[in-house]
Amino acid sequence: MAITATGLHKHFGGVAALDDFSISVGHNEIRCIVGPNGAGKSTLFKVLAGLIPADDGSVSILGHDTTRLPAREVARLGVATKLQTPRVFPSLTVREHLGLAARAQDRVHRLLGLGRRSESSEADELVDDLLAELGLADSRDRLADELSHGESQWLEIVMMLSTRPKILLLDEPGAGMASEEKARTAALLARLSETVTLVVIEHDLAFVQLIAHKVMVMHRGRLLTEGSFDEISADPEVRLVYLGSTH
Amino acid sequence: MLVVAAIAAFLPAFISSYGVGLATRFMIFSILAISLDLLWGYGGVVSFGHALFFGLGAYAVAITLTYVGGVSGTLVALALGIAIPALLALGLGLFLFYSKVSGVYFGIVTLALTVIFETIAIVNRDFTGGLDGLYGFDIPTIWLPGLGIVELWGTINPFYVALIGLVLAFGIARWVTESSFGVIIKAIRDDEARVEMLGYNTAFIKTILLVIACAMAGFAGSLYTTVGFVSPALFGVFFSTQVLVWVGIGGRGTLVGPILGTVLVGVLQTYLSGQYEDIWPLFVGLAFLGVVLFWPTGLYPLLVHIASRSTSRQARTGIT
Repeated sequence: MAITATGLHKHFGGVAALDDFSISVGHNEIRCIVGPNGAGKSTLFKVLAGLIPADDGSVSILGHDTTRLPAREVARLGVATKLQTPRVFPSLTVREHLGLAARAQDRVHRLLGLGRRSESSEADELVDDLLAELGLADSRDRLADELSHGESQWLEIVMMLSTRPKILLLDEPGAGMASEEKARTAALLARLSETVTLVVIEHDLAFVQLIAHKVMVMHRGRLLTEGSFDEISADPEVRLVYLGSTH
Repeated sequence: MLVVAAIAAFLPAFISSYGVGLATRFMIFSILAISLDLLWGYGGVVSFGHALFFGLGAYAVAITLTYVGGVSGTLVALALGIAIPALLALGLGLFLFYSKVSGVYFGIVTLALTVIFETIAIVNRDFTGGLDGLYGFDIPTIWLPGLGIVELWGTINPFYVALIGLVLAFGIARWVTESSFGVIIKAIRDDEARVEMLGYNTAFIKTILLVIACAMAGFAGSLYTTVGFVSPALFGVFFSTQVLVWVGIGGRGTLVGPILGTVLVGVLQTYLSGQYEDIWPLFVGLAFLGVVLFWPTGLYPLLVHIASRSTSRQARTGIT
């Protein structure tokens, strides 16, 4: 398994964001996690990424116990995380983002890179292809601050890929994108699953339908149900939680 | 920068020795401003007590030259003037950044340290000269091929040492900011948590940045001893505030801006302190407020903006 988390608990005050939640994701799978606001999806991501510790339970990623590891150590195992809002660096160019990400796994002496001009860092072939595919190839010298919302989302995804990850955790990768941009993003994620394991949080069920191998529905920090997209969309309990109606 | 430095090299031929002395101080203070710009402008780490490292460098050199003289004494003094601030920065970085102390809290710690070191400099009268400061230490001397032993005293020699020091500090700062390390520190300034999520140890990176900036501040302090006198005011909160003003007015994150800010405020201060002996800091404060309110990125980016607009207007006029 790429990811195995069991018995996760996380409370904020009196609210249980995760309540005995468990998840297992196989290699090269696209797992989608859906659920209403406050279901605990983003908290789950933060726990998996090492951004916040779980109150109880354990997390194992690629065979390593990551339950108490900080975010940078989890990242160095090959886990790239994208949180809900695009988080790129406004004062860096697209090219600098890619170089920054590509060097993230380097050892200290290379990491410091004192005296080495930042432009010399190369993005790998996959990243080059993706930049061309996403229309960012001619934007290498543009600042992230000048990019549209959709372009920023893509830049963040391409930046994550530059770290050569084994697992991608994506929180709402299609948020704020036009339908055409969403379709391109879905195609991109489907292509990535050939080499990478993906766990995706998404509200847009049409987007989920395009990419998910398996869907988990969360509600109040617990697993409500899981299965294929067709199975969960036909589940009356899911319809009740999502739409407030079984009709 | 090299062109400006080459032009500046002819200044002593055209201005009075008083002017040369002032220019020397402005250049030394510019090195200090550049070092703060590395930390604050590029790394987003605000130090309210950056003068502490300048003062440490100055006192390390002055105290060493009190006991050891000559070229070798000067070299030892310079090494200590750079190493002591750098070591303090290393300790601070390991302690504070690894404890997740950042933002205004880091600034407050540096401010508190400034007050502590100022007090130490005042209290240890035998060692530091107390409130009177330290003077009468051996003249810093260097050996240059073709010139032999050169005393860094008077007006001309310190001027050229400060000029070379400024070019050197600017070059190092450019080298740092344009390297891949520079990209990491700018990214940390933008979003430290995101950099950590990529796998970087941001506490380590910020510690390295702090060491570089403080070593440079110590270097500036070391050069300051060529004026022949150091005092506890070099550790003072007021001096630290002035450095922030120089960088803020000139334009942080630009390297050139802090030099511009230091020279402009220095000239303004020299003029105003002659005219309004007691209230001149008020005018400098108002100038700072004006820049922060109306052009928060500082004067240098404003000048670049004006120059680029005027160039594009000329280009448009040329076409039509």
